[in-house]
Amino acid sequence: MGERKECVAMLLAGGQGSRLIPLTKHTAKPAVPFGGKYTIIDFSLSNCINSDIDTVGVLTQYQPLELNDYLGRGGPWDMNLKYGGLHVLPPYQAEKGGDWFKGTANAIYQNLRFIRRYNPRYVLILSGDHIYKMNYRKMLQAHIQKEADCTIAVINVSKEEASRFGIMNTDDSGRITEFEEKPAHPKSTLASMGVYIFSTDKLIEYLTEDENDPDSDNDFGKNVIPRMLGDKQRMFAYTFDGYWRDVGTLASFWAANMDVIGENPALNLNDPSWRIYYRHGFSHPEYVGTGALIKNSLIGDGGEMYGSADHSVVFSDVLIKERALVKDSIVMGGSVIGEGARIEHAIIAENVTIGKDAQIGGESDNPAVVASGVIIPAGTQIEPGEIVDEDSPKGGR
Amino acid sequence: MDAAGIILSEPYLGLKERLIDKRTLAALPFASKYRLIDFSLSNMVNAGIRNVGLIEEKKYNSLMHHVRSGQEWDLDRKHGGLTYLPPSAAVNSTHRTNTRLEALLNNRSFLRHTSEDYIVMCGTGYVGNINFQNMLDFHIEKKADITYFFSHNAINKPALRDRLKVKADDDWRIISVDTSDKEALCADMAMATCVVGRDYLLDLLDRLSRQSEARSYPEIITSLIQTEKVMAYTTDEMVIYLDDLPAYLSGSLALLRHDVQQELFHSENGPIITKTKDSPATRYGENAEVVNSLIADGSTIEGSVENCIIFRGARIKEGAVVRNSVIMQESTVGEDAFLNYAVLDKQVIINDGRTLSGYLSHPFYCGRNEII
Repeated sequence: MGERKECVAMLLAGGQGSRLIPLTKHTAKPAVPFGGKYTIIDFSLSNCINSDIDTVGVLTQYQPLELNDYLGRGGPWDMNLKYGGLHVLPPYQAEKGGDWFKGTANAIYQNLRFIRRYNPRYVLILSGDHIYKMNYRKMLQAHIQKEADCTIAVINVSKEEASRFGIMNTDDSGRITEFEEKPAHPKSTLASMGVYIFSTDKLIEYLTEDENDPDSDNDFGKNVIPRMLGDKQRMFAYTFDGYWRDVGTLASFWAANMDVIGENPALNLNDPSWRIYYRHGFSHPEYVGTGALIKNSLIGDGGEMYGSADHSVVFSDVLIKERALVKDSIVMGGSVIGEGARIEHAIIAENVTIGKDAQIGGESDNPAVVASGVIIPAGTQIEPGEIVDEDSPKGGR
Repeated sequence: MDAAGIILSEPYLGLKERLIDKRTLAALPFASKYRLIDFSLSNMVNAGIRNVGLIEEKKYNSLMHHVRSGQEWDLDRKHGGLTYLPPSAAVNSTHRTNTRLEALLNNRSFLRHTSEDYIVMCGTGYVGNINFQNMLDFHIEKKADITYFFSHNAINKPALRDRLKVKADDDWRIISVDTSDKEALCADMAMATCVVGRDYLLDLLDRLSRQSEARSYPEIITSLIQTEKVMAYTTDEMVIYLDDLPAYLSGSLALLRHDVQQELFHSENGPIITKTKDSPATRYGENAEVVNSLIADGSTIEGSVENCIIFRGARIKEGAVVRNSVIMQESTVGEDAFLNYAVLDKQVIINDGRTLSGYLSHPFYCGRNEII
């Protein structure tokens, strides 16, 4: 008790995820459900505790109600500790006034007092809206071994994708020589994952400097990293070669959910060596009735299945009625799929009711989406790629 | 609620079942993700009981591992909460307890130190979603000394041969025991669920402890109803007895009935709570066929499953056919194996191609960690 924490994590969870609307209309992106059981933030938090990092500040801002409820005191991730543990850090009023977090760097700057309380040697900066299983401890070992001031996790992307990311150019030792934000002509394919380890003194030094610069956007990628590079600080890339997705769009969110399906899925969630923890409801076991046909799918508990599911991710407490078919789709918790309804290539959010014989989606590059709480009347047809929320003519509440 | 709870994890009946070879009865897994204790604890907290003593006798390792601090039931409290009462816990405890009476005598200090006026006592060997608040209200209204719980809606019979039958008068006071009267209520000893005033119970235990000769439970009840006001509280809440292997299998298969699911899992009394495992969602393979079954999360279904109860982390491989069976946690049924009326305990491995069959009255049982 009261010992120094070697590494404290700061998890940026304030993002809106505007391209995920309507899923993020009333909730922050990190609180969006994923993979039949989880919310997106479970991945970063589970990575922390699986990496023996038990002290995490979660910076919230946008629509924090559901996220705060979900996090609680961090019990599901074994972070309800007396010393350390999970702390939700919302924007606040201080002596010299308060403000919304101006950028990612400013969000951390405003919470330096939290970091100092644990006097850590290293600070891990994370984003709460990525899907991946990563051992931060290995990255920290690399950081220590290279005597780095800052280590940035990178992932190899294709040449075409590289223009959408912050790209690191490195020398043979892995030291970062140049950083380019969304370059038109990328010189390398090492994309930043938004996962940084800083030696604490350097972090404080550069955040303070950044805060004092009135022209700065107070953003790690845009301001802090380039400034440190300019000062020739020791900055290294740490290459991560596992599964990592930003799920920034509805199409990529759908695709990442499909990646958890199958015997050898791209993202294996049934991994006892790297469990993803989540907050549980009181769901009873799933009942599969006569006439149900479920194949190649992941199904949560607490629901009742009387229809069919094929190549889909179905969350807890979902009722799929007789003759209904859910194909290549995501159905989130508490939704009801009516008799004979056909759901194809769609994202059905939480507590949706799909009426009898309704047809949702179909072959398309983009999934059809029904936002949470919406009632789709019997027989309604929702086009492929169409988005229905409570304000749409086809949606009711 | 002005009551503390006592849960007896042992039936004290000398049951000889391989199901409880390695665990106390309260720790018996049931219904895909629960253990029997979950029902007792959930019924208590759903009735507002915040102070629960869990009396243990033997083989309670898996029970403690499951219940831990009681946090799943919000029983990890500064005041009250869950108290483990193992056999040697009390200052003057005898080393072993062979009857419920001895178990209670051993734990008088727990009773003395509770501030609640009433004690809800819960035996083991059955499950139900039961409203203990209603039972307490009845007890108070009738100014009873002891109120025993009876269900009109037991969906199977307890295995126990020496069932205790009682007869009640029009006001539900128990007036006789051990009758052959068909109308009599079955006070199944396995249930042993009752409400009693705390001071009254302490006084009664003192009186009983002074009696020198050892007496059986029916003898004690028979003499109690002469002198005390012992009432029968009856409800339609469903109970399932699980005190031997055939009862366990038939009780498990009863879970596939819609009305049973409604009674147990959708009751207004509240949810049945269990230890969380952070299991992933259930994975269904390309050729999975599941009909009329209860499937826990974290399991993997690649074969054919019909009328089954599948626990967390179990795996039914491709080509396997499993019918009318219970497959407990982390057991694996190999490719092209065939199982009918089987109960596989935890972490059993059935190798590829094996054929194993029992019958409802004689289930094929496979003990924990066995490989066939």
